[in-house]
Amino acid sequence: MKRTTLKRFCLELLQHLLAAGIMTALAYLLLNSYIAVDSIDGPKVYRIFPIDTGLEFEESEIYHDLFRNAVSDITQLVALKGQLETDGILDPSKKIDVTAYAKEIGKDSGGPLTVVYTLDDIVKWGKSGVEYTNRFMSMSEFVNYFGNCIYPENFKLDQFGQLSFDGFYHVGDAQEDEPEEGVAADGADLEEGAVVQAERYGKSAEEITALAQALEESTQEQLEDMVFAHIMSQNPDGIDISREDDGSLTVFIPMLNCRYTSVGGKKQLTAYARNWIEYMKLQENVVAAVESLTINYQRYQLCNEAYRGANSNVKYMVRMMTDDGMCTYTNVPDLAELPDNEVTESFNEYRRYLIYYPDSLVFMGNTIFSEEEIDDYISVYSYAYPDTTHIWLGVDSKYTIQGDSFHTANAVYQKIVPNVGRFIILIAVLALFWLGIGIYLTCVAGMVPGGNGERICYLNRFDRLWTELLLLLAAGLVYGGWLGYGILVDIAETAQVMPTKLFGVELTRLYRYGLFAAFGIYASMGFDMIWYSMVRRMRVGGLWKGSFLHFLYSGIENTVRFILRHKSSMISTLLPYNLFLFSNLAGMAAVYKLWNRRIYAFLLLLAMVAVDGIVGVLLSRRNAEQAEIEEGIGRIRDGEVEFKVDADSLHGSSRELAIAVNNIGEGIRRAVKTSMEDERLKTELITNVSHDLKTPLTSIISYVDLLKRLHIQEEPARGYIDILDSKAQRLKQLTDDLVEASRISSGSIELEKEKLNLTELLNQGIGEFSERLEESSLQVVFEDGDVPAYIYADSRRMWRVVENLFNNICKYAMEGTRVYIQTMKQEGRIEVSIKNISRQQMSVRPEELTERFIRGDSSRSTEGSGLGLSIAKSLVQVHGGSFEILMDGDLFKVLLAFPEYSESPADDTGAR
Amino acid sequence: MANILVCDDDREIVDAIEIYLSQDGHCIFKAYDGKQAIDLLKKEEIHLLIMDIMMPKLDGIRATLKIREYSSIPIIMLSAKSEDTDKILGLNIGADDYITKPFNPLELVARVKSNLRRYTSLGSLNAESKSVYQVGGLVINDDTKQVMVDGEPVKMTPIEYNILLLLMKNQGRVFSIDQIYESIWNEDAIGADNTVAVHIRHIREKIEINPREPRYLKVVWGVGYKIDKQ
Repeated sequence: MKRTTLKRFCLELLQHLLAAGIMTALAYLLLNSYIAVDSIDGPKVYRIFPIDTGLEFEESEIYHDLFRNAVSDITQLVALKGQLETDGILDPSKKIDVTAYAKEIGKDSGGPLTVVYTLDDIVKWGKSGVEYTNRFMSMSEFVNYFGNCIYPENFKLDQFGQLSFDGFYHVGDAQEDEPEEGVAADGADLEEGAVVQAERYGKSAEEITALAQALEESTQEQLEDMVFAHIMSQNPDGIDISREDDGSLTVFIPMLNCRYTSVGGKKQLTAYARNWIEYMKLQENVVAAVESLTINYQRYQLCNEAYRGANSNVKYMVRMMTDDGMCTYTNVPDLAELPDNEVTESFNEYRRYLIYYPDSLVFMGNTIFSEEEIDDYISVYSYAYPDTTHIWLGVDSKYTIQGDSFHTANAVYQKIVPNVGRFIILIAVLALFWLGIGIYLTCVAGMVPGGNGERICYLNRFDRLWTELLLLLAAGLVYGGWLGYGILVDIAETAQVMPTKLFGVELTRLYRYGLFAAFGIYASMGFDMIWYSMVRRMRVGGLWKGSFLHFLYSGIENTVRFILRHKSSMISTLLPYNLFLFSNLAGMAAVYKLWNRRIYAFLLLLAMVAVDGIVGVLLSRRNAEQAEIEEGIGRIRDGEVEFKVDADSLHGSSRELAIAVNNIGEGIRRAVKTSMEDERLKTELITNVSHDLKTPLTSIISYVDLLKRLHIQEEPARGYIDILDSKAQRLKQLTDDLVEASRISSGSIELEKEKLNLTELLNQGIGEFSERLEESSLQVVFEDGDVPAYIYADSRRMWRVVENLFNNICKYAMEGTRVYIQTMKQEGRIEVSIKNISRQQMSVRPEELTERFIRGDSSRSTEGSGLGLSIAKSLVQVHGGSFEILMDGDLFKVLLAFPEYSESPADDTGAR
Repeated sequence: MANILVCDDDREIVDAIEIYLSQDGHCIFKAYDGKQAIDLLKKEEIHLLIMDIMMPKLDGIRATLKIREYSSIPIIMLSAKSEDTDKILGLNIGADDYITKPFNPLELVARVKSNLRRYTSLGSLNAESKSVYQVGGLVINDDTKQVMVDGEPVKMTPIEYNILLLLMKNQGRVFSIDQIYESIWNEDAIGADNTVAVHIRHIREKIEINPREPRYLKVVWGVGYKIDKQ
């Protein structure tokens, strides 16, 4: 039992360790599978396992993704270079035409105006963000600020002759106080001016005159209202007009800060615009250009740094024909001056390369990149890539430049990928072991070797818990496992981000592995605990029996059954009980009612106390009587059959019960007496019969002996006499044994017990039988353990036992073999084992040898009475010992065991 | 040689005993119940009585009691009752020996001889010197190193003689195998095993009529060996 438990414990421990191993290996795979590389857009994390395994780095998804990023970055970089560089270096003083730039990036608001800034100004402003000033102006201020628009040409008359504002048309040269005019130098402005002129002429002179007249008649407020109505109908963005309480109008307009002055004229934007619509559009373009260029500038800085020849394993070269001549962008300065075909040759040498001439439809490369894909990238910056562009792109597969994304990724990839297969095999092997142990433990769960080699089931304390609790625990464990899984995923994902904190503890490498292993052990232990318990329960069939539902169910069932079975006694008990309860309650209610008439209440209370007291006394007397009867039953059960319960002192049902118990006791007493008498008579009969047999037997033996003395030589007669002699001797033996056996089995022998030494007895026995043993050339090997083996027994009966056993050996042991006798002391018992090799094949069962007399077995053909072992066994048992015969092939083994003699023999019950 | 009265209700047994004993030259008187035996005892000069217990008219026990009132001749009881209690009863009421049926005729003859010798030579074997020890018919003389059983010398090996002398010197005391070994061999008893037991058996075979039911050298099973005082 202990060994089994220990073995099981060790195996389970091994299983948990295996689980820890599996998780650690898995942790190794997962934690090392994350590649974090720096890219233009910040750190990027890639996962190798289980996506990319067994491929070369250059074939992997990661590589392709990095390559794609490189292509994207470089196409962008080249475009930016075009924007920001002059002759291959960044030119901070480069002039940027805002509207042209907005057009390039597709954000032109469509205004007629433009301004030119230097690049450094734009970037400087962009870095701090575009700032606006919110201006509040009254309508007249607004109108004045963006040029006086109160001209007849700007108005129209509707069909009712009402004057209304038509639009902010510029009334060009006609007005002397237009400050903007003449400054607008570029072509677009002139064109706009012509349109305005045409508009102006859209109105006839009569109309103008009529309008001028109408204007004259209108007040300033009316005109302002008209402008307001126009603006509102335009529904403009970024401008807010509200009417104050006094009826005047206020315009709210966000305007760029005054610092955004242009390169050339050092003028404010408002100085370029003739009216607020133009202003707004210009302002939009400026903002778009500033924002875009700032971002581009920053990206340019990053990309340029990242893809500088000394920083990156990616080599590129882009060459294009522009209006300004041939333009080459590269991070391999050596190739810059070479012609196209030589450049192509040198790029061909790279492990992965891409060469693309969109104009001549040349697309070469050994990447998974397609022409469409690179077209997609280029088309984003189509303004920067004329059709004459030639692109070369390659990656140095030696990764000689350290620190770039390809180098970093390759290093990690080479570290983990070749080991992935091994680790998967390792995990599989460990998992197989785990499973194997699991299956074995499942098979033996709850099985312990029983006494006789078979296996018996057992449940431990944990298994006796309710099944529901087990399931609840399992659910808890699963939830815990789920939480743990979440944590593990977190750990794995942040594996490359050092340091990470979890619950405030910094995750070191060891800590991560430890958590994985701990999770493995947790899962394994949880599984083992639940699963093996389930298996044990199922094996015993206790899955349902051990559940709380079953407990409830059986409890209810038993209660119902009990009530049904004891209907009558329930009624006889419950009825008086309820009556008692009811009368008490009624009494209390009455006392409460009669509280005002103290004397009655007091009397009633007194009566109640008296009645309750009587009931109590009766109940306790009944209990006491029950206890008395129980004691009587116990004494009768313990063999005191003469005992009588004193029925006269009992009352009611207790008396009936007592009388019944007494009758049962009397019945038992009579039965015991009869049985003892029968036994005595039987023994007496056998003894008498054997006496009567012995007298004729004496004559037979004597005369056979006399016959032998006649020395009759005639052959048949001599043989007959020998047969007579041996059978007469056997008959003698039989009669002796018969009496002995019957006495022992009926228990009518008296034992004269004394302290005796079994070792001494056995030595005496060997001495007594020495000659007979020598005749059969049997060698006795006696191991007495060098200690006296004292028992408390009748020495002559014990001799009989030893004598019978030695007789048996002399008769049946194979000649020339050894007889082993051994005495041992074991836990207060003296054990003797006697072993010998049988001469003949033993065809009887051990029980038959010792119970012949009792069972009347038919096989009595052997010499002797055949009662020897039976008598020996009975005698040993009378002494409180045990007698066991074991047969194993030809090995015949007798095991005797006696209680060891102690100085104060506590009980002498054996002597009867 | 001697007049022996054989009394048993079974005539064939009486006849058989007669045959055996008359071969030794004894004169046999026969009786078939207790009464006849008492009558014959009064008439004839009888030296030894062999008597059954269970007999008609007067049984062996009562007959013995009556005989013992006036005679001290050796009485050998012959009975089918083999219980210890029967033997003790028989010996206590005055029988000198007790033989259970069915008996070995040779043993009976030997016992008769032994009892006769003791009866006839009783007075002459008084212990004369300190080196002579006697128990019943067994005499050991340490001066002459001679062992006599019922007047006949018995040959013994030195070890057997020493064991017997030890037991005779300490009559009534039980010696364990180890004790005997230590005092005879003067060695530690470790490994004594059953040597002593074998020697004791040999001694018994020499001095006892029926070694299985010894008169002198008794085995106390599981304790040791002793020679009782008589």
